[in-house]
Amino acid sequence: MAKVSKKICLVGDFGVGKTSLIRRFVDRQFDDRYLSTVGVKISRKLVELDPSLPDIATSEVQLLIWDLEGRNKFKAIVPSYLQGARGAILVADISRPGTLRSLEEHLDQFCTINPKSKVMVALNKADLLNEGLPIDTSSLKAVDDHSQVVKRYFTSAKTGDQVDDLFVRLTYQMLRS
Amino acid sequence: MSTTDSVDSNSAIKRSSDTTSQDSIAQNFTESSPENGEIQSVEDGEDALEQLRVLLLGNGISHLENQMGNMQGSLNKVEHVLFDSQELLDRLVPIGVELISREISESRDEMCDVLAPIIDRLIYERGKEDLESMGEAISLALPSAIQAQIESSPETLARVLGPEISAAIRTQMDLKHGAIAEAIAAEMGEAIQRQIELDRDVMVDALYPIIGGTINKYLQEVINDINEKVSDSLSPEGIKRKVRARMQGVSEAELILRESSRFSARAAFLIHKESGLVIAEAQSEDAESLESDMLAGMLTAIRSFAADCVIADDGGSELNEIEYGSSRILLEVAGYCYVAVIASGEVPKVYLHKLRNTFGSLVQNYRKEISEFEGDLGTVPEDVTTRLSWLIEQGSSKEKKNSDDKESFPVVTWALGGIGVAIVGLFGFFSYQNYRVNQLETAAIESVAQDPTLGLYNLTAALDGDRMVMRGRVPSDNLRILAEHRMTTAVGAIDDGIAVDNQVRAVNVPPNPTAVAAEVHRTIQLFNQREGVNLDPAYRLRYDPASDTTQGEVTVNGSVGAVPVSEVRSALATIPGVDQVVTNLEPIMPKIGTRLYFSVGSANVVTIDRQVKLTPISNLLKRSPQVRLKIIGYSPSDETGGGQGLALERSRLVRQDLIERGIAPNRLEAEGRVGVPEDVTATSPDWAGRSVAFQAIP
Ligand SMILES: Nc1nc2c(ncn2[C@@H]2O[C@H](COP(=O)(O)OP(=O)(O)O)[C@@H](O)[C@H]2O)c(=O)[nH]1
Ligand SMILES: [Mg+2]
Repeated sequence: MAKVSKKICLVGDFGVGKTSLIRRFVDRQFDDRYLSTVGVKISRKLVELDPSLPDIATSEVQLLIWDLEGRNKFKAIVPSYLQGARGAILVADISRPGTLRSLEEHLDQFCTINPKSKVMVALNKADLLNEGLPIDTSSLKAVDDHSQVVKRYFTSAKTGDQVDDLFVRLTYQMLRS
Repeated sequence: MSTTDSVDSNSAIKRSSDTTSQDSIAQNFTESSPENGEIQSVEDGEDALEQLRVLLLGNGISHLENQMGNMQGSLNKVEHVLFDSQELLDRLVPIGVELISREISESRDEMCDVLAPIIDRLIYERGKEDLESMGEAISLALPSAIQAQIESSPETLARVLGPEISAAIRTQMDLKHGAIAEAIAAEMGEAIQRQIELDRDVMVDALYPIIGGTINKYLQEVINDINEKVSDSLSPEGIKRKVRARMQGVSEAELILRESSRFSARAAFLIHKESGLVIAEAQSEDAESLESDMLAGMLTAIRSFAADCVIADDGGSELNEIEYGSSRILLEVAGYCYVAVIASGEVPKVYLHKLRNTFGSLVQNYRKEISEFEGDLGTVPEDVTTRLSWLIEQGSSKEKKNSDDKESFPVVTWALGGIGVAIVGLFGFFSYQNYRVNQLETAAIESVAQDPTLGLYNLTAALDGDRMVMRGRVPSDNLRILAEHRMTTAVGAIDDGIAVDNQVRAVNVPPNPTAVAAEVHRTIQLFNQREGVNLDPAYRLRYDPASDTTQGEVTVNGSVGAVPVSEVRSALATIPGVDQVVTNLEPIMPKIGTRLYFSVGSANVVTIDRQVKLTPISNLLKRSPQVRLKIIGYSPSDETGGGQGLALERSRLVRQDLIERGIAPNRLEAEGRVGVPEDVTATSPDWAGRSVAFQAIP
């Protein structure tokens, strides 16, 4: 069967854990030193699928994961980096409410460029919840209601909690769209 | 590393319009301070903050010039000092918020005045605690301050920052995934864009090492080639080169470079412009397809970056070539896709024409498939790949004895076709002869030039009557024979009346250890791409008293997954310079869940079990020669007539059965235990304990 590849982007404020989530999911990362100035790191991961599930015509998909980084909220990412993605994972850090609030902006930017894509939301550093950190998800209403957003997860790149689910679920969703 | 650096200085990015001046760039590099990336100790914190404060205050542009280089170091120190300071955060945040809520452009100086001494003092008092929160707090103030600076005098700032940026970028890359490096990169983006508007050369220069890294793999071969040539500079060929160098008035090094920069196309990719996904690809045999998706993604990112920063403001020209030493990436761009050809050596004009024509017709014929490409290679017509392969063939190096005459031959025939049939008869015979020689020699040379291990050695082939004479030097007998095999196959496919006359000499060139180590590494990387493989090689030279020679020894540690160890060993053994391979690998042993069960007091294996259970086990052993088998017989302690003897008898009989099926006895261990397998519990049926279990062992 011919190889199928999809581009996905990780988007979110500086320091929310985008790179860490990718490291968790992709066991062998390409040496990521080279493109830090350009602001992109690309990783690759083969996801095995269950072709017996409805609408799944292939047994594996290669994800090309673009880690858009280095630019913080004062500096928008280069919009052309988002082009051609079929999926995105929006990442926020539950210990920093500001990063939750900026999800909506990231979502708008991504969805304007890729109106046919699917989006997952990762509220990362969920391991801190166990340490009694309170969380206010009220700012997420608009994000949750957005038609391209599939699901919201509490993830932890530190413990690995929900990380695989996040990526694999997104992969299935992209193939179905 | 040093070899790569030496190639760096030849690098250039070319754009369709203006060419850039190299001299200013070289100067910028030599002026840059080597200390930029050094992490200094925590005690310097106060000093560092002072520097940062001066920087933020914008205490005159001339200060900035000196301070910018130190900024990264300063932030490093801040990071150390601030790590995790809750108190600091508590006290700082309200101040920051209050200040920032004012109009920054008005209160910039006050803010810095107020903020700086507080930071100074707090940092001095408190050590390492809440880095992250602190980082966030500071990041609120920092960009605004820098922003203000930029707004008030962008041009001066950019001009001042300019020369430092390339150095800063290099340092930043050396730091790898340091948080500060990332933070600085963000701020630098702004400065970079300003910088570009004023002085593109510096920016272009800063990009080289980044781009270089991505194609380093391809470069390595060219470098090997050069090393090879330097090491044989005392050979007849080397002396010839020296003489030639004298006569032509060029340096020997330059000649070596020229010889190794024969044009050759390594790989061609058709890449979807937006997503960076590979639509089709063709690679010369030695390049592994695994990297192509990453390479395409990175090229796409570089193109976007260049389009956004470097090129957007100079009238719509596109990045069309990335040059790196004697390697380069040729880019041709259309609406939905672009083609990237990775090549080494000078690009002949003819090749550029071929590239553009091929790409043009690809885009025209398959517009729909390309624009609708969704990552599924199944939707790409095969012809696309065929055409890309043709580009690689056209760009493969053909070194021939009278290359000039023969190179022009195809042009002659084409011209004939145009003029008419009348004179064809006249030239027909001659042309055919010429064509045949050309075709045979080309095939002969390509057969060795395209082989990953032989490609380095510049073997030549010339037709002499019925013999294809192959000449050159290789470092081992193995390679000499491999070359003969390759050439015989290739020539035989065209005309089996031609014999290959192997005059290649196997000379024991002491291999360059660095090159060998690099090759070992590259080989291991290929294995590491496979599932479950994680190998860690080490190469060293070892004196062997027995043979009184120096031996190259590779030690490999790690896990080898399902790959047979022998495959790893033989791949390493073919590398010239590797004499011995020591493997220290853990194969992943298959799990054998099969159990045989027995009647009370009996050791007889039930007939049906022999067929259904032992046959697959014996097949597994035959398939995996590295696997040995432990056969464990059990007899529960309460078994009537049971005991150690019966337990052992059970396993012995099974062992016997396997030996009769042709498994070597030394691969089979039998043992008997009184008791039951671990997973058998009190609630399990009583027969579950009377069993034989298996365990694969290395
Ligand atoms: N406790 C915790 N820390 C995390 C987690 N994920 C990332 N971090 C930390 O957050 C910081 C920023 O992570 P990074 O992946 O570089 O963020 P990025 O800028 O979005 O790529 C690092 O210090 C990580 O160690 C998580 O799930 N839990
Ligand atoms: Mg990151």
